[in-house]
Amino acid sequence: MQVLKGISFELGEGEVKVVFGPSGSGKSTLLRCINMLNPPDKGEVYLRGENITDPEVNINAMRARIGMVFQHFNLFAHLKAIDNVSIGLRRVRGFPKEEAREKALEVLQTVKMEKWADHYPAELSGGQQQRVGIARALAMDPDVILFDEPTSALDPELIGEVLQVMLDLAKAGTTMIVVTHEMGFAKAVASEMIFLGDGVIIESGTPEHFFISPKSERVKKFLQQLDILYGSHEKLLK
Amino acid sequence: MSDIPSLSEIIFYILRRGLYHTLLLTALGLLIGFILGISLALIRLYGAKELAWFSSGYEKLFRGIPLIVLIYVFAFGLPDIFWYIDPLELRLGGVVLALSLRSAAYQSQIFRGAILSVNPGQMEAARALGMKGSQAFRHVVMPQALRLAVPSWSNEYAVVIKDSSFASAIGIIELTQAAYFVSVSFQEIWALSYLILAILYFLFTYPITRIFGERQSKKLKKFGMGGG
Amino acid sequence: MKREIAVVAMVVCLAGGFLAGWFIPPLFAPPSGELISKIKSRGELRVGTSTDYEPFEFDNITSGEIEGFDVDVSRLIADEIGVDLLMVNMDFEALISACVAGTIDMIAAALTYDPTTELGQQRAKQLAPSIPYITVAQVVITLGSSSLNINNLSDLVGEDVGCQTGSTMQADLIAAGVNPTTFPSALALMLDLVSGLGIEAAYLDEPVFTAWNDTYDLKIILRTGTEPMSLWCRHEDPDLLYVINTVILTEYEPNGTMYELLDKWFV
Repeated sequence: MQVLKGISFELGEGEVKVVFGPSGSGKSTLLRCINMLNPPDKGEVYLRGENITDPEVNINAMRARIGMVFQHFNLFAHLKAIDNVSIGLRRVRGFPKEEAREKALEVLQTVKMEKWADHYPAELSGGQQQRVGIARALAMDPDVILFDEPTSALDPELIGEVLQVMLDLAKAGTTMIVVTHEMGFAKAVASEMIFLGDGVIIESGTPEHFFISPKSERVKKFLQQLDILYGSHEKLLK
Repeated sequence: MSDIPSLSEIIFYILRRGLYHTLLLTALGLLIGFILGISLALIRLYGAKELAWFSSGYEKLFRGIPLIVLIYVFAFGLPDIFWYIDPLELRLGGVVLALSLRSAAYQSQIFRGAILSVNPGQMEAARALGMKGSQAFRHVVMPQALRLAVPSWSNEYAVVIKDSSFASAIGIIELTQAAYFVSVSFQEIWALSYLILAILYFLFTYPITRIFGERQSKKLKKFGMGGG
Repeated sequence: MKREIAVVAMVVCLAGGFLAGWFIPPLFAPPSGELISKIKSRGELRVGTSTDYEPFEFDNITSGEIEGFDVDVSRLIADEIGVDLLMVNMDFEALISACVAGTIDMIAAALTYDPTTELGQQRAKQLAPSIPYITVAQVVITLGSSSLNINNLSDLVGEDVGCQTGSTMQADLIAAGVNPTTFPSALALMLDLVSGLGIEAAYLDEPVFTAWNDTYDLKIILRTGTEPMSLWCRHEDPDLLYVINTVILTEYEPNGTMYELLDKWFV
């Protein structure tokens, strides 16, 4: 079954791309193609000029340069928060134990989770777990971070803390591709938004374009529905 | 026949004569079964098709043969292969082999189930970090699978320690054989000596299955491992 | 595809090698007929027995030793060779396999040998019997209080009679049209009888009755034929069989020790 067709876009350094659209439109698959968790049958993905989809390329080294934040966090259940963050440094980057720990602690500070460093994922709230998940991706100093619906599994009162962290990252110049329905977040930081439907790009443009004058009827309808369902989360953002 | 011994004398006699072999057989049976069992589980899950087929055939075969038959085959068959080892000493090796080969079939199932019940998202997250498949398996999947396997594994311990009593059939003096000695020497108290034996086995299994079985299950639930 | 073929080939070779090693008689095993020198160099004669058959063999836990008539006879053989005696206790069913495998040198376990029966012929195929070293009568016994009265085995039809599984007594009872309850050991058989709640009568070797009659009130209601018992060793060890037969013959001479042993255990 073909999920994605004819999708092509570029992402510049420090840009934030927001991908949205109805469920089943292939948003998650798109992210998974980019880091080859679901290798595409056809098509190519380039990272700083290197073809990731080339079978000759060392895919593990490539993935280490592409961070991923999951909808269901997928924190390593047997590891404390700090070890969740440092394991990539130690096993992939080859950091010595102490150095990895120091760096992990620093990154935990940027997501304001340093106080929870010695807690296991099951002892943390969903919002806290997702912040550790972001720290885990961030610790690798990736060229780009992929966010796969990072807040959609969270209780409403926990969404704000995660969005705030993502917003801070975006403002600090992190390159990000974010699949989300949080339009407040998109409005605040997205350099470009992509509306995906049935595996093709229906419409793309700046947030201003989408919120003021979207061309397609389908996009208009979808945005209205989002407003009814979620309201605007702008108030959650400073 | 001599005077009937006191309760403490019977217990002491059974332990003194039998405990060493019971614990030795159980420990070796579990350890070798563990190494083989994990290998079989890995082969079955990740090996080439033919090897996986071999592994599943092994499981079916060894779960289908009564232990006593395995003990006879190995205890009396090994001297044919290892003719240079004293056959009387080799009996112990035969029982260890029988216990561990059979336990491997069961432990393979335990570990296969445990590996499969580690949430697939864990593997994905590890690969997304840039770990090689083998690294992800070693540092993320396996540590969780081993923790998940502990409750079933403590049950396997209970099975093996009780099955080690079959060694008495070929004259290895372990707890059951020692209790049997008491029962034939003092026919008046044969029931008592077996009751004591039953209590001893209970004391050697229950605390272990309790600590590693029930408590670990609760802990795993708390840690949210396995399934969701 | 090449890899799969290699894997299959490897598995087949391993399995084949294993099976070959298992079933082809060992090429490097010491030749037969040298058991005595092996026993001498190791310094002990290993005799298998099954200790639930007082007075032939039983455990004395006070001394920690296996004792009985068979043990004393085995000691005579060990003395003749000039080595120590090691009694190895096993399940009755395991003894023959153990002897064939060489785990034990010989069996002394009140094992009967009647060449006219199928059981006897089967045993003689697996192991070599010595000349009979004792002949005991078989008896049907009941509790002293029982009113059961019989003239031959077929009178037992319809009665609840017990015997040991796989024994010649079982074959005799079935031949007489009786459907016996069988027990894995003489101990289990006797415990069932003396409990007064199980079998009405038991058919077994007379010495067992003698041993138990000390503790319980029992009586013999029928004495049938006698059954010769043999010591057993491997067909490949004629040197040991020769020593066994020599000892039995010598010790039954007028001044031999066998008569002392018979007095010690069966009177």
